Amino acid sequence: MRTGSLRLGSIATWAVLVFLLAPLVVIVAASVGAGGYLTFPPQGFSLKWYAKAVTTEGFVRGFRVSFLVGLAAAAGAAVLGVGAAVAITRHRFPGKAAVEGVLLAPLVVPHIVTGIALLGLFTTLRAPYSLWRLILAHLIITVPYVVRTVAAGLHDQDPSLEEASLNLGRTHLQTFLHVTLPLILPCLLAGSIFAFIISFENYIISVFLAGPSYATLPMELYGYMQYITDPALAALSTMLLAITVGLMLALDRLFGIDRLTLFR
Amino acid sequence: MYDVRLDGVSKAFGEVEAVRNVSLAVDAGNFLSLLGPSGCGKTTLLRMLAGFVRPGRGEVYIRNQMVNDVPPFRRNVGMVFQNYALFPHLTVAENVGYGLVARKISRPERERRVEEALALVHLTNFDGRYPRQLSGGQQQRVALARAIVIRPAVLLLDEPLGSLDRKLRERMQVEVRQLQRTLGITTIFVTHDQEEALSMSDLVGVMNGGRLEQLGTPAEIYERPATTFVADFVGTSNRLDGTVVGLDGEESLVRVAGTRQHLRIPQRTGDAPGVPVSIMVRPEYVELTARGGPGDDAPLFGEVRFSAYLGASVRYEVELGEGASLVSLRPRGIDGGGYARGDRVGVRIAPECFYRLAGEPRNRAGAAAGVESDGAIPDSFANGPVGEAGSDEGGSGVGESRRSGGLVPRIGDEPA
Repeated sequence: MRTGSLRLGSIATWAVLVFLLAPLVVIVAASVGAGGYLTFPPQGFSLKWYAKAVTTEGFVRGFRVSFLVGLAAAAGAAVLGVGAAVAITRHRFPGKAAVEGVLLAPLVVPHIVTGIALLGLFTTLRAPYSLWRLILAHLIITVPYVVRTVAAGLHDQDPSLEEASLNLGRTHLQTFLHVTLPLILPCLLAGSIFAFIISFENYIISVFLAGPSYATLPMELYGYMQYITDPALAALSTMLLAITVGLMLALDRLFGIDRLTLFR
Repeated sequence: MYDVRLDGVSKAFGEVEAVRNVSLAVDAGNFLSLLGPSGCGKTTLLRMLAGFVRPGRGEVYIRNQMVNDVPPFRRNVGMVFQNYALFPHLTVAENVGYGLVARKISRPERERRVEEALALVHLTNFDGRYPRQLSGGQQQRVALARAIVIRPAVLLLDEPLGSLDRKLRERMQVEVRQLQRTLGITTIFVTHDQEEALSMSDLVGVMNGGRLEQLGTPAEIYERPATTFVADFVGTSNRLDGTVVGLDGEESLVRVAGTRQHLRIPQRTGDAPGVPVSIMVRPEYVELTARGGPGDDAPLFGEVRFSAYLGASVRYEVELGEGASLVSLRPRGIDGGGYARGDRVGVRIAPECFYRLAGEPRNRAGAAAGVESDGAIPDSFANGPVGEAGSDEGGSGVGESRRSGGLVPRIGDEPA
């Protein structure tokens, strides 16, 4: 009886894994096909679609935009996120709960709502299309990830370490630089990487705010797909997948990926 | 000269009064233990000295400077935290040198002092290790070295030995005390372990509910507790209630409640037949004699209800009557092989070993305040709410449950 239910459990686990991973396998396999269409199983073997993907002008431009926006958003989120996390974990101030709520709200507000709201705001302000609009929007949705990871790190850090530093003659700022920051660095890096990934793969918000000259890579990808469905799409997707998986592995090494879940 | 002085200090956290009107002073070079159960305010008091807690009322002085408004990083106070709080990302040498870097002390001087401090705590050659590579005892020493290397005005220790096992703990007690004496550093040590407080300190401050119940030498705390709380918290104590039934010269005759037995205690002004008294006696002063044996003129008698073999001594619980019982701690073998449960025994207690407690309920408005010490102390207790019930002043307390001839007491260290 017990072994029976155990077996059933492990079958279910494998079924879920297959269900989740099968589409990825299809995409990766299709990317190395020699034919002109997305097919599975692939016919022949060729890396030519990879060559096409990295030489398609739209993809290159989109990658540049996404990369820049991602870096800027991650850096901005790191600075704002650390500040906010320190305030939340180390200080008590009126309206603290409200601040926490606002900081984490972008995680629960649908991106389409955020996108429409920001479009409305920028239109009202008559802000011209620019990279900054995109960066600002991405900052809003990525800050919560840094706040969460860094706050978790600060929460686990023994507050008497900071007291020891003060006791030994370092001011609050020096204590932050010499004790607090070095100790939360892994969390901060993890949060920033997460922020970068979130920004890099975002489509919905970008679509509202980017305008034609600042199309991001996901936008270019989608646009391309409207007209052509050749294995170059699969090749690009595979490369994105590789980057994301690589970053996730780095994250896991730095931080432990299970700690990034929203509700602990 | 005082190195540390608290003047009517209070602190409340919301509704909770953590520290209530505490005044005390510690002489330069003295070792003060703050002793009390958890939540008694001792740690809050320590954190006030470090500058992490601002007193709500009252003033804190360090070396004659009022430091209420001085932030922690300008106080020059060394602190050893309960969990050591070593910086995990720094080596042992960097940890110890941390306060010297903050003081912008030149590198060669810094290295010399770090080395010196590590030698003092017997950790030479550990300088390159990280805290996680050290045992609990070693981490403890690093924390100590880090606190003393800055040559602080005061050294604060927040239950630093709490997490060590017994053997190591005892060794560290000795080491901390030796180091403190060598350096002549004024030290305040927070602990809930009364043995630790008695064995290590020049002065012990017993705290309860935010108040300083008594401040005195270990011997005074043990032998002449000022309050019932101190008597109960420090060591084991027996308490007997009774009524004065007669006066006889220097002594009062008291009938023990729940019995028909009488005992003699030193007389005090106001004693008259009918006056209720509460008296306390330490278990090691309670002598037992075999009924019918040579010592059978004992004034009290009772029945052994319980005996526990403790190795060096045996602990008996003797019932004198209804609701009146005494714990007796006897050196093993001295009373002729000991007694078994149910044995009838004579009980003898020298009158000067009794200590008189003020009646309950206690009203001790002034007791926490104004207990200052100038190292020698004894006078401050003369005016206390409780007079001492006449153990002869200078010399003989009883202690260590070793009996030779009469009752020859000696508890803890003599004050330095």
